[in-house]
Order: sequence, then structure tokens, then C-alpha cells
Amino acid sequence: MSFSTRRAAITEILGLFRTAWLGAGQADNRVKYDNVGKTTVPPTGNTPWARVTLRHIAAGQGSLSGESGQRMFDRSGILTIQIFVPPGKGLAEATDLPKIIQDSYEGVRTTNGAWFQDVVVNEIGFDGDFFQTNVIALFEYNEIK
Amino acid sequence: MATAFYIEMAAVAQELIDENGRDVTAIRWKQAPAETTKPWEGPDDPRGTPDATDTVKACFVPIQGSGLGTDTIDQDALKRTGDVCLIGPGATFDLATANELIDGSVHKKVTFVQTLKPADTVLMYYVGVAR
Repeated sequence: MSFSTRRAAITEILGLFRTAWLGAGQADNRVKYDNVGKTTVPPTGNTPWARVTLRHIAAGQGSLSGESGQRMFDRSGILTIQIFVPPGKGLAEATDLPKIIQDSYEGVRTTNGAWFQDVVVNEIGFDGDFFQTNVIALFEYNEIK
Repeated sequence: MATAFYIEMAAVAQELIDENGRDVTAIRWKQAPAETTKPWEGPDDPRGTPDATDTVKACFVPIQGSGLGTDTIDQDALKRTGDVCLIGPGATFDLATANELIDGSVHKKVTFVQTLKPADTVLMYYVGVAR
């Protein structure tokens, strides 16, 4: 299992987050992705929001070429999901929502073979008006080209 | 009583900025993603089809370490800021949601916006931009 494009890999990796986020009753318009000019995030009011950052950090050749001339390349990186819940609500939502996101990655392999290890939840504390918790996952996948 | 006074002050602020400012175009980029199931890919052409745009007068002023009567501007935001301008309350959309200003032919990213808004009346915007 492998990907033919980098965008396809990103789509499967971030798609897991989106599915879990929407499944937890949250909304797309309260997620800040890199380089998207969204001014509705962070939101006002009593609702959680998230910032998603995906960074590739390493790559290398994973195979020799076969008859087709194609080779496999290894890709790896860090996915950081910062989750902000409204203040004054204790640790209930600040625990449950990151846990749902953690479970969506931990021990999971996507359709085309992206997989995740060391999926950790870190409580950060107050950031502005919100209580922040981070979910951090290391990801790996193969790209054939 | 107070509201009437603020409305009068807003008119004065707009008049002074109109007299001393120059035209800039404020833009709020399109935010809706091209594919709703892939919001991380963003819109196709956020500048070409913006959510909101308005040509307003902006009066560029020296950068100060303080904002509209307060010392609340993030120092990191100030480091990222090249110019600061005052814009009157007559804009057709809330400039606190603007992404960039076009000054002549130069696109300048909005780094912060402070709004002077006693009660419900916007008197002016204090906008930081960077090239």
C-alpha cells in the first residue's frame, strides 16, 4: 500500500481528524488549517476550536526500481492538533475531545498505508481565553513514483 | 446622549481620515474551501473571489508601542508590522476580519486590527500591515 501523490497522503491523514472532529459534534468552521485565511477561528462563544499543523520531517528511498522504473520512497512527519476548549468547564471536555482525536490515530493504518505511532495527548494549560490540549502523532507512509 | 456624541465623533473621525488619508482596498479573502470535504486545501482563488472588499481611506501614522489608548498590542505582532494606519468607520464590512490591504499596487498582509468602539459605535480602526 502506498500513495501516488503527497496530496493524497495528506488527505487521508487529515481526513481521519476531520471524521473524528465532526463525529464528536464539532464543526468544520472551527478548525484552523495552515495557510487558510479563516477569520472565524478562533471563535467567540462557548465552543471548542482546533488548529491543525502537519509537517513532513524526513524522507528517503525505500526500494530499488522494478521493471516499471518506479521506486518507493519513505515519508515521515509530525501531526500536531491543538485543541482549545472554553474556560471554566474543568477537564471533562479538555480530556474527552483530545481522547477522541487520539483514538482516531492510535494504532490506525489508512486505506493506502499511512500509519501512526507515539500518539500522545499533552495538556498545555490556558492560552488566551481557552484551555489548550495538544494531540501529537508521528506519521509514516510510502510514496511510489 | 452618549450614543449621539459617539456618532458625531465617528463622523469627525471619518472626515479627518478622508482629508488626510489615501485610498487602499481592504480585502477579506474567500474562506469557503473548494471542496467541503477537504477544508485544509482552502479555496481555489481567495483573492480573486474575495468574501468582501471595500476601498477606504487610510491615514498612515508612525508605529507606536501602544494601541488605541492601551498597551495591548502584542509585541510579536509589532515586530511583524511594517506600517500602521487609521481607517474610519465607513467601511462596508468589519475590518477586524480583513486579511490584507492593497496600497497602490502593493499587497500588505494585515497583522493586527484594533477597533475603537465605545458602546456600539465604531469610531476608527487601527490596522497594522506588513509587506
